[in-house]
Amino acid sequence: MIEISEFSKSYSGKILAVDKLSLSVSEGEIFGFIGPNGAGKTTTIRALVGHLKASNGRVVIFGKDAWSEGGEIRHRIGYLPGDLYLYKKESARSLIGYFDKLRGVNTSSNLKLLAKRFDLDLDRPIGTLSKGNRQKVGLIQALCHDPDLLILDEPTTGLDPLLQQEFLEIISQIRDQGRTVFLSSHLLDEVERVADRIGLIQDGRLAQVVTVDELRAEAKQMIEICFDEPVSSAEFSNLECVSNLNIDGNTLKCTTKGSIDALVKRAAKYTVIYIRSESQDLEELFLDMYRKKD
Amino acid sequence: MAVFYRMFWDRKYGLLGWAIGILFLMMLLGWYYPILAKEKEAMEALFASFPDSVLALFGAGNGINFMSGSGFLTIEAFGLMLPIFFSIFAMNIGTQAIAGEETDGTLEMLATMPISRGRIYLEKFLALHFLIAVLGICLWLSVLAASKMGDMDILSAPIAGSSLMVSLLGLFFGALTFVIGAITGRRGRTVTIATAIIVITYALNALAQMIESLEFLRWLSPFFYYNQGMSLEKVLQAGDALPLFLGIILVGAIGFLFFRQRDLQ
Repeated sequence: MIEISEFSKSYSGKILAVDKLSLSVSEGEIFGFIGPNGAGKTTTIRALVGHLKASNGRVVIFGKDAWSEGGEIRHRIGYLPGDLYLYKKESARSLIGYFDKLRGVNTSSNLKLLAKRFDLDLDRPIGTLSKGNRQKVGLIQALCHDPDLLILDEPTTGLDPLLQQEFLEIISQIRDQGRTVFLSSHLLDEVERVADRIGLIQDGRLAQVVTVDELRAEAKQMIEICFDEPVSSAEFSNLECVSNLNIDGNTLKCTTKGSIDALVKRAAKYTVIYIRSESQDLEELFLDMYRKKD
Repeated sequence: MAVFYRMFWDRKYGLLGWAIGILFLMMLLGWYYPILAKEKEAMEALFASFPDSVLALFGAGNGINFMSGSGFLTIEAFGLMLPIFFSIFAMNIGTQAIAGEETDGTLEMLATMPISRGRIYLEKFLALHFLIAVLGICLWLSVLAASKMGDMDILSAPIAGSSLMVSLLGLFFGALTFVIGAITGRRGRTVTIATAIIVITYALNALAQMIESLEFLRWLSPFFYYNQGMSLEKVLQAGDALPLFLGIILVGAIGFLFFRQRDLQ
């Protein structure tokens, strides 16, 4: 679906925004593309939609070059830019009507459904809408023609938590229909909830690509178990998933990695009063994995 | 042709305003000419006292008779005012077409639609021409009305030819502005460069008429080609319109090549 090979982009021949980035995204996948601001996410995305020409390398979508053959593939793409600017005097309905003409489609029934789902007034001039509502217009125009590929740059900016959840559900449904989503964000937490794989870009380089399952398997948990009697550390120290074991009377504290099945089974030999667990921040984990790889 | 239609539609009120303005100007001249004609001898003496080089500044060199209907309209309208009006109108449209949209950020979404960059360029370029052509037709009709109203005794064909020449001059500067916008992608830069070119080329043409040693510079000015072709006394020949026509095609082609190959900002 998306094949990026050795893609580099420099501005004015001096500032290297993206350096030899290679990745591929399969059909029916949600690919999360994360990285700090200024890492090169938007540059990569703008090359995907044919706004930027690669200084080196190639960006191919649906088997066609995104730069030279962009006009032929963009009818299958829905795009939401990071910096969204729309015609302010227009209503969402009129704007999307214009986009329909350019795309050669009629999305009026989809438009109605999406407007209801996002609770958007389609007839108000876009200039009078709040930032969140303008973002809804951007999302709806990207979704309404049922594209095979959605390219979304920071899509939940300005949306309230309920709508963020609604949006994530929509893109999960899109994936379930076999369509593909390229989702850029600086929030790993958001991406991790829906993505199949996640790529981290830092300083213009693709640092790491992992599946969400791999990421979760690597995730550490801080576990605290309270028993009704004192337990010995020897009983738990030989468990593979356990580290940083600390037993203080009836309370066991440790760090675990991956499945905690063995720990739970061992603890079940005693009467357990409570178990508390706290997950490691995924963003931190992702960066840890990157540092280790480096 | 959605891009073409939309650009035309977005500009409809501006076009209407300019058309009304031009009609008003022509009606004013049509009303004023008979009053002036009563002072024919005094006015002729006054104009005879100006050297040709000064009259040239107002587009009235080459022995134009101010007191004839055609001479009056040439000096009052076609010599300076209309070329400037058309150039400003065309420059406004040319600036907004690509540079304005790019500066506003709306070109980002438009360029994401399944049409090529070349298509966006061509449809907008055509819309620019169409808008100026419509204003040119309004000018032609307004001048016809003024001529009739003021009993100026000007034939319809030279009025059409002169209106065409003003339109072509506007089209040239509109196309030039459009192309500068397509290359730079920035509204401010486009306006600055285009304004400088219009003012400099106007000054070049006027100075070249006054200073013999600078005469060769006229060839660099679109105003020279305009003055060569524009006449309310004779029928326009194809050759008169050719330099501006070719100029429009040339700058349009240059912009097309640039716009297709550059990054959007």
